[in-house]
Amino acid sequence: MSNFLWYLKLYWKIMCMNYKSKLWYHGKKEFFHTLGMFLSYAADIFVISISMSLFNSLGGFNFAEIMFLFSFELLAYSLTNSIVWFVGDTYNLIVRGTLDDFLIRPVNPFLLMSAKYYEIGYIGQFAISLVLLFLSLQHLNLEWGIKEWMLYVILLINSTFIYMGFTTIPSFLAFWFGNTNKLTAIFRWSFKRIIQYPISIYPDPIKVILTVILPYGLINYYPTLVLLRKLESTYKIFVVILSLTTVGIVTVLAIIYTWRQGLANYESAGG
Amino acid sequence: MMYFITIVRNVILSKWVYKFDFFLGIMESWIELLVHLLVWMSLFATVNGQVVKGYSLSDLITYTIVSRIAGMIANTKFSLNFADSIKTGDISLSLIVPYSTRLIFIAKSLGNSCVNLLTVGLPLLLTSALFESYIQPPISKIHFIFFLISLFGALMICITFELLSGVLAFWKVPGDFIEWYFSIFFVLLSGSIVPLWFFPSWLNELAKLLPFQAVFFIPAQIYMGRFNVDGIIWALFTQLGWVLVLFILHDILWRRGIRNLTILGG
Amino acid sequence: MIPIIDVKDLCKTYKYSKKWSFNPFKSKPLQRKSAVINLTFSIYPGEIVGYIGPNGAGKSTSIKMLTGILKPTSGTITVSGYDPFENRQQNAKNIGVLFGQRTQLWWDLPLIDTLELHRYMYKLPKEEFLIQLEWLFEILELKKIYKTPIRQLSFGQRMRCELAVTLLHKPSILYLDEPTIGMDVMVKRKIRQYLLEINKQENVTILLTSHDLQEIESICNRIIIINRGELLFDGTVEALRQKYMPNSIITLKCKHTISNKVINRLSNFSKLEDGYIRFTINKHKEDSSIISELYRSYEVIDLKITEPPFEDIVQTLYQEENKK
Repeated sequence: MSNFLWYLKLYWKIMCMNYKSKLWYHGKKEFFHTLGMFLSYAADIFVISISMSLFNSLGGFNFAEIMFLFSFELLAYSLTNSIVWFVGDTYNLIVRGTLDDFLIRPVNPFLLMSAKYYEIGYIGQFAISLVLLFLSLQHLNLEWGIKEWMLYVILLINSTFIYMGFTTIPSFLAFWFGNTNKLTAIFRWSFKRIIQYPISIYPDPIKVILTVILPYGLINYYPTLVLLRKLESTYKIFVVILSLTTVGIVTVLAIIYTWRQGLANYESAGG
Repeated sequence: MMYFITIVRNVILSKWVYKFDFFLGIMESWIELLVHLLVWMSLFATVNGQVVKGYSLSDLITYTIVSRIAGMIANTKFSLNFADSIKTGDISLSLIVPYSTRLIFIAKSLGNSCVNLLTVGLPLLLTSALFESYIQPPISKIHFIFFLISLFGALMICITFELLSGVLAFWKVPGDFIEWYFSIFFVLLSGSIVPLWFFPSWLNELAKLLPFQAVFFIPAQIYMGRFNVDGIIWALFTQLGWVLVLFILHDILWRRGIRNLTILGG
Repeated sequence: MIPIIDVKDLCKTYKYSKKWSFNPFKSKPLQRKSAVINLTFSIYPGEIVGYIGPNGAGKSTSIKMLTGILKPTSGTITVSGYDPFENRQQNAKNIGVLFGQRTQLWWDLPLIDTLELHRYMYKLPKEEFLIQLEWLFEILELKKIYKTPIRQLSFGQRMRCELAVTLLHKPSILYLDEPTIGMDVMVKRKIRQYLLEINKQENVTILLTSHDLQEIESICNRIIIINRGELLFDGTVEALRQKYMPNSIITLKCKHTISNKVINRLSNFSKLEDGYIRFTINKHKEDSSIISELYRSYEVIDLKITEPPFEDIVQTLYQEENKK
């Protein structure tokens, strides 16, 4: 337990140094960066609200439900990307060898990289998604108690794990294939567009792919069905929650496995 | 002239080297297009195929595809490279070369447009075949010709806009932020996601005052015959007007920037 | 005595393909490049070992395997009883690594911030930390610059900061790759002094890579030479000299002219300006008696004995190996 706390404090220290480092010389840039992220999501939401004002429902979801879905995805997305921001630098880390510095320390290199590359800019999106969450709950007249909030947190953590899997594993392929930036970009950004809307709008084959093969649907669609009571039987709810958490745990194991294998295959820079 | 053609060719070849990335680029734009179309289909399904504000599903799908064609050609982004070259001072080197610096950047952006023809055009073609029943053909041959002219206009607007945002680098304005901030508004106000028909009236008015809608919205409108002859002429003149305004603004800043550069040293 | 670093038949082979194909998931003919081949040596606690070889010889690759960064293709490495790759974090507690072209400093922050972080990371007690800081600031002349952001420092200053970070946690094994590059003579001397001192007092083992062969010669008691992935030489500087360039160079001037008969007995004879002559002798053979003869018969008025520069010896070794 004390080891866990020690790690937590280390992570916090590095995050603070990271932030200090950015502000020292790049303070203005950071501000505009965060503001920009905020604005782009505001624009996204604006577009959705325009469409919703004209159409009333999308894929069986009304506007408030869409907002809930959107905010859930945004939360999982913000959490994921702030923690594993280093995947954007895998070319330097894995191909050009800057990973070395993390490997010669007496601490877990994955956590070190995560802390050193921690991206604070996602605070803006985090804030937006929380606002959307509360607004949507209000509009849907849902009063949540401890049980519901606990379920929400568990499902959110789970979704974050799955999102992390999709973000880190393609980037770790750099251990074998060199530059995987574009590939990672597709898994990070392109698929995100797909799940910003409920996957019920897509034709069946795509829905199946998004549930079973590339389970992006498990990130926000199915949790939303559970949390907004859109599933009829308790049995169904139970099955869905179970599958979600199983996939989450399996994803974490997959990430760890790929990372370990990658390190065994690490070549660093020549010499 | 050959010089510029070579530049265009080089840009295309340099992207082709990363073949896998190229292929992924095609996947990327295809996913985007499909999602867009499927969302419209699903939205219209909720109103049982009737018209919304006077527009049908077929209108929306045609609009999306046509405006994408406009985007494919016009959407060149060289302001970052331009701004970078100013920031690092490389621009002073390129001034020595006996070709217009700005034309070189424009040539590079045309190279990008050609690449886009493949990465965006291919999915467009395939998807159009899938959604064929929903797409409306051009109203008449004349409309189509005007459409092509407006595509050229859209390209010119984008180019002058990029020149303008790039030249701000002379005044230490960070290039990537201009690019990013403007693209946020661009995407919304150009009608690339939601056509201006659906905007609340105040937003519609605002959008009409800005050059963005002249890139996506105007060409699509012309194609779909939503303008009468007067309207088309007016729309094309709007495009021309914006090109001139943006270029003049850019040119003033460019000359001033270059003068400072050569007087004070890079 | 048990070696602190024990390397047996160490091999590292890289696989790569020359052609990049459209689909990276299809298998292509793989080329293999052997970076390190059957490397075997043992280093005992307290040794200062010079690790030299031309660029691309496999030095960095082998050091990265020793520090646990790379996994060996075959062979074994034992550092302080552990396999450095399998027990990377455990091993890391007691080693200090300085890579020439890499930085472990935070670019936009001052040195003290990086040091504070490392204090926490390596779990150094506060008292020890402060004493060690005093030491390091003194030796490396950091008192004026430890609060300045690294990006504002000169190259030489930055290298001193790097060294401070490497030495902070008092590791028992040091891997130094070009540690004194870009530093002026005074600071270089101080650093060498410091290294020799910690080696004597704390029995710190040092593995030093440098292209400055004079530096290697001055502080290393043992040399390992590696080229094209293979071990070429492992022994003392003296042994290296003996094997490849056992001759000393004698430059002398005599009062009287030397007879041709004597000159014919001198190896590598050459006449220099101002009456000086130069020739070589092998100290370990009998020809050193020629000098006493010259003293007796010709009255030597000036005599200088020099050893061939270390660089020449190493170069000879490379050339001989290339011939094979």
